[in-house]
Amino acid sequence: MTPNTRQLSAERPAPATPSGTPVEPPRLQLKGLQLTYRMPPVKGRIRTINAVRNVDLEVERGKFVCVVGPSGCGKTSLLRAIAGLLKPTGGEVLIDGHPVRPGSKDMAVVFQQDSLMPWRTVRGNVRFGLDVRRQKKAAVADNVQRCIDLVNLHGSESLYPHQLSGGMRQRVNLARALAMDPQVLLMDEPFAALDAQTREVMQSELLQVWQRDRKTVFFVTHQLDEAVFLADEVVVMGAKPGRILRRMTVPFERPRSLSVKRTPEFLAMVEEIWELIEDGVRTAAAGGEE
Amino acid sequence: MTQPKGALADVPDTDEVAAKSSETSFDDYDRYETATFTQRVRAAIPSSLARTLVSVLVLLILWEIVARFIIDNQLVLVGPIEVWESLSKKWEAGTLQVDMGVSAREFLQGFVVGVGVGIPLGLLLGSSRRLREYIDPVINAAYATPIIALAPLFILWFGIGERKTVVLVFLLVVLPVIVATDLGIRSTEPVLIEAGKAFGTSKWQRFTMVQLPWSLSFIVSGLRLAIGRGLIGVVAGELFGSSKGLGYMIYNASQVFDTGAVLGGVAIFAFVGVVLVMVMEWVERRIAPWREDR
Repeated sequence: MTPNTRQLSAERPAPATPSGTPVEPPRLQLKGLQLTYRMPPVKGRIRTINAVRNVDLEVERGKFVCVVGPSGCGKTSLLRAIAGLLKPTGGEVLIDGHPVRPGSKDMAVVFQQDSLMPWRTVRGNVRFGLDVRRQKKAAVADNVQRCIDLVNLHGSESLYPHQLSGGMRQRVNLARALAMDPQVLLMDEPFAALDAQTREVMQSELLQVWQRDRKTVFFVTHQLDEAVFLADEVVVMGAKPGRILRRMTVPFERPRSLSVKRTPEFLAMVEEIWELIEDGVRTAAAGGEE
Repeated sequence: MTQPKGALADVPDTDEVAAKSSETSFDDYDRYETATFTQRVRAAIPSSLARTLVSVLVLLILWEIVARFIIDNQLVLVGPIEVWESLSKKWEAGTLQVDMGVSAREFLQGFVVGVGVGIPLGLLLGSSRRLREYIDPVINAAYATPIIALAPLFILWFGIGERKTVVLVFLLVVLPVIVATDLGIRSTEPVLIEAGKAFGTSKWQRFTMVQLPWSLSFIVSGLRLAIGRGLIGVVAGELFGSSKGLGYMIYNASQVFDTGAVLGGVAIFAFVGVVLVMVMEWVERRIAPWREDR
């Protein structure tokens, strides 16, 4: 978010095409990504599971992408691979054409609930990633405060996570990632543990925050309406093996308000996605393999 | 913070909802700030402390009644009033202070060294699976061994005097500290370690910024357990081959049938133990208020 870094990243030399005109690489690129897990052996047989097979995906700068799919389709694994938390067994993850590195300016992760350090205050948690980079407290104070204000936590800076509601904790979670000023924001079902009303409020607030500087967002969710409401593009995944079934562009114009969710077009789109993944969801719900 | 009732029934505008909900939380603070004096006093003295005092008082009264009216034999049991008198006599003679000083010194030396060795060892064990596989059986065996039974042998090894007692206290203290520290490191929430990784922590940073703060309250739990064991170590060490200390005083008093002094010595240990444990519990609550299991 500091202007310097933004210019630096924009000035990275872009690979030239044969015709000689430089082409900017996509912000986030997955090339033939393969994630294979080794499961604990059953009766002496070693089992491997293809969590994700051969995923290609390109996300343009400033796009908000939501990934949906039945449980076990590897959407969270995909996110963990982009975050550098899971080593791909094949293919590669590139941000601005370079391999990812955790803790760099490349990306920051917003986790599901309760990944905040319970011994740090709101302010301390938001500063966590900057402390890891050994940045001086005074130097980052303004940035930290701005991120706290951005997620509407002004006045709660000195509270500890156990004193906060679920919604507030997720705001801290978001602010902690924003403070890193990442190129790509990775969000792993950040609102899944919240009650329905709080979730709606948080979705709206997230869009407002996003609207300001249009970071590239990779958002994993199992809530179809959440995906359609937030995203520029919904990536629908299927399970066994985890793969991309379809990529759908969301046509609704921005800024969006919650009333969009009640329009027939919105409901039709949710319905269309549901039909795509219905079989997979039923299999998963019937106790099929994860 | 709770969402205000009804605010979301007609989700008109998100800004408005957010503003309302944050207002509610500040209302709660105002209420706290304007609490009356008695309310604050009541909040400051936990009712658990009041109940503890009542329980102690009832116990003392029952003890006095039993000693006075049921077991009417000065050799077998004397009441708290007579215990107090015995102790006062020793205090006036000046021997009680000396014995207490010796015992306190032995306890502190053994405890400090035990904690100083136990915490680093526990941190090491918690961080290295391989090391733990080597050392864990030894620790478990030592934890299960009645080390106190070795006290007579310690006279042979370390001579008569304070040193053998210090070593005994050390051995009794170091084990629970190691075990609790090790447990603290290993029980660190995987989600927090994952978050640490995602923000680019080095292995060392993960240790200092995630695992160590997480295990702090576990370490204090270990200290709490160690206090009780350390005090037992002091008595056991002084019962054999000593000429000073509260344990010696208890032993000596029993030889001359001074039941009041015997019970008085025990009562001093009990009192010190209770106070120290309460201090540790307070520290635990202070450094880890998010842990609700205590």
